[in-house]
Amino acid sequence: MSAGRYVVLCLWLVVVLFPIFWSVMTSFKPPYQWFTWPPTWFPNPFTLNNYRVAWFGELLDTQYVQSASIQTPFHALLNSVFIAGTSTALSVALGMLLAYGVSRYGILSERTLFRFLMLRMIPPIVVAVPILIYYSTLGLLDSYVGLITIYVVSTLPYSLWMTKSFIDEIPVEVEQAAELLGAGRLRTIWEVVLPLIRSGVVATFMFVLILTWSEYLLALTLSATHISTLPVALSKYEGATEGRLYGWQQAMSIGVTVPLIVIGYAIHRHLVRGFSFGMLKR
Amino acid sequence: MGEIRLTKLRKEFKGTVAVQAMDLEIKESEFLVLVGPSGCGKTTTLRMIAGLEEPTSGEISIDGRPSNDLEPGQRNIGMVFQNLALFPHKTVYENIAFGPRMKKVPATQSRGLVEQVAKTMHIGHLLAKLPAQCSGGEAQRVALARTLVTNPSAFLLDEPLSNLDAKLRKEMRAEIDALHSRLSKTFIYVTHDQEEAMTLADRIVVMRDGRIEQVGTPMEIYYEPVNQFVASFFGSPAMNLIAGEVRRKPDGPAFAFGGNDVPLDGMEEIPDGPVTLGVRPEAVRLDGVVGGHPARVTLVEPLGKETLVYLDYGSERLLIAVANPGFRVEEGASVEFDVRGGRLYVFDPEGRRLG
Repeated sequence: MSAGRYVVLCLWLVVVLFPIFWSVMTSFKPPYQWFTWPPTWFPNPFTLNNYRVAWFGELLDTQYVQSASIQTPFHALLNSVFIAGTSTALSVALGMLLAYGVSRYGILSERTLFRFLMLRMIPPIVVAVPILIYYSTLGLLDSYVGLITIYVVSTLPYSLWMTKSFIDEIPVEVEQAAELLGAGRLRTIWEVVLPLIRSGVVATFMFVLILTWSEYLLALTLSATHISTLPVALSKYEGATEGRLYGWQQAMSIGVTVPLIVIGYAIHRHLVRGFSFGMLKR
Repeated sequence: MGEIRLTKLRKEFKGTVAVQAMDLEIKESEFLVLVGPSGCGKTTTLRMIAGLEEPTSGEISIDGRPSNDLEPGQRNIGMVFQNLALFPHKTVYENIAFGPRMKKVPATQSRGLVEQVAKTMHIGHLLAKLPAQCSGGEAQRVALARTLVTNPSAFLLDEPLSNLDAKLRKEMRAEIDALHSRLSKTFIYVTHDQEEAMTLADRIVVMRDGRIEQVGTPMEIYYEPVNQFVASFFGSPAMNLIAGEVRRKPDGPAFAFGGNDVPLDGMEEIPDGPVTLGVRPEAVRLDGVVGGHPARVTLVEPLGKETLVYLDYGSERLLIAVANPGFRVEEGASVEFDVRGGRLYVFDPEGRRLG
């Protein structure tokens, strides 16, 4: 690689990493350093108070702001885990079944598949309000079923297209060989197809999980207090009544980000294989 | 066991006909080779026998039992695919044991079967490896072993040697031949390689455009081809084809080209008119020819046991002759060749054999 490319990549790295750096630093700053100008680059003194406030609700009384809308985020955390986890699992499972049908039986035409992908091109804000109206009629507002449904539907095209690309790579003869040796269709899928696309499925799961975990607009529109997720809870630290509680917000946002990084690291082997197509070519 | 009968078998793919009205009887423990250029329908035929492709019409019967509606796994047929289709995530052992496991063979018995087959295929040392860790020849053996272990009544092999290099291909060819003699099971083998077909087959089925052109033993196919296509498909180098016409002479019909006459002995009933004369390269004489046809030598290929001589007998018309290794000639030299006395084939303009 040429030196010029290194320079460009390093600059880009700075651009990408700076907000994360700033977020981490702010989360450890005492309140009077959140807004200072010129900026305080490193927290001094270093404090964990923001985390204690944001995650445990401690010290709230001693702070200069108290708002009824600020709650400990554990409820939101549980909501996020449940909603993102369930909708991702459903989306990937359904997408995989569809993809198998498309890849092996041609159940949907190429055109239909592209239309399907086009669904993703619609800006969510365009559909948010119509869905809000539908949901309020159907009684699905502020319900798990409602949010999970819309997440599954909106991520299904990704699940379908990604898993399809992995299934397409399995030579159909491998399945036919199993069939000739006496394996039934389900048996073949279980013993031959699934193990071969495992990395791809894991990569797809991660990809969809990131989408659903960090989704904000629909979660905000379609939820009230009952099922509000972490991204919605995050926004509560900026508002007319609360002011700008950057330190608390950043402390929480770090907590929201870390699980994805941990999961990503735990499965990074699969991700590398899954994202670099062509794993089965000999 | 292993008797397969195809009756009026037909397969269409979205309007294009891959196989049309095919009638074929495959005898028990016969080595049958389906051969033809790519797209001739040979693989489709094989896949229909295996049950992987549903015939558009017609009937497949295996051991006297109508089998159109049987699942591939119920036909008791083993198949080796062109790309081998080994399970890449399973070890060689698990690959071979897959069949017995699906057939609910008890584990101990299955282990014995796998080890026995691995021994006969000389892959006992590979059992713990993954297919990707095996060489091309080894993977080939594993694929054979995987079908062998289920003891099918017929083996279908779809160009199994096409991914191997020339030397290995000959070795495996001999091994498949030996395997067939040892098992005395029905083998149906698809290839586009005429040499493979000639060396392996009890009977050859020559296919073109979804139709059977000829069925016969290798010798019949080589010496008595029914048409120009079959004649030129078999033999290496391929049969020479010379355009000309048949003219009646006082002593019978003769083939006339470029001012030369070649008497067509024993082909009295051939009508006059334009034809193509087929001559195998080994029937073209160069040594000690008197009164032959003049030609220029364009290329000499000494192969050791024989020498190929490429001749241009006028306006870029080429001919190949097989000469004795002792025959010496320079490229560019003028020589005379003669086809009289050799085995001659006459085809009409549609390629049908006239004599």
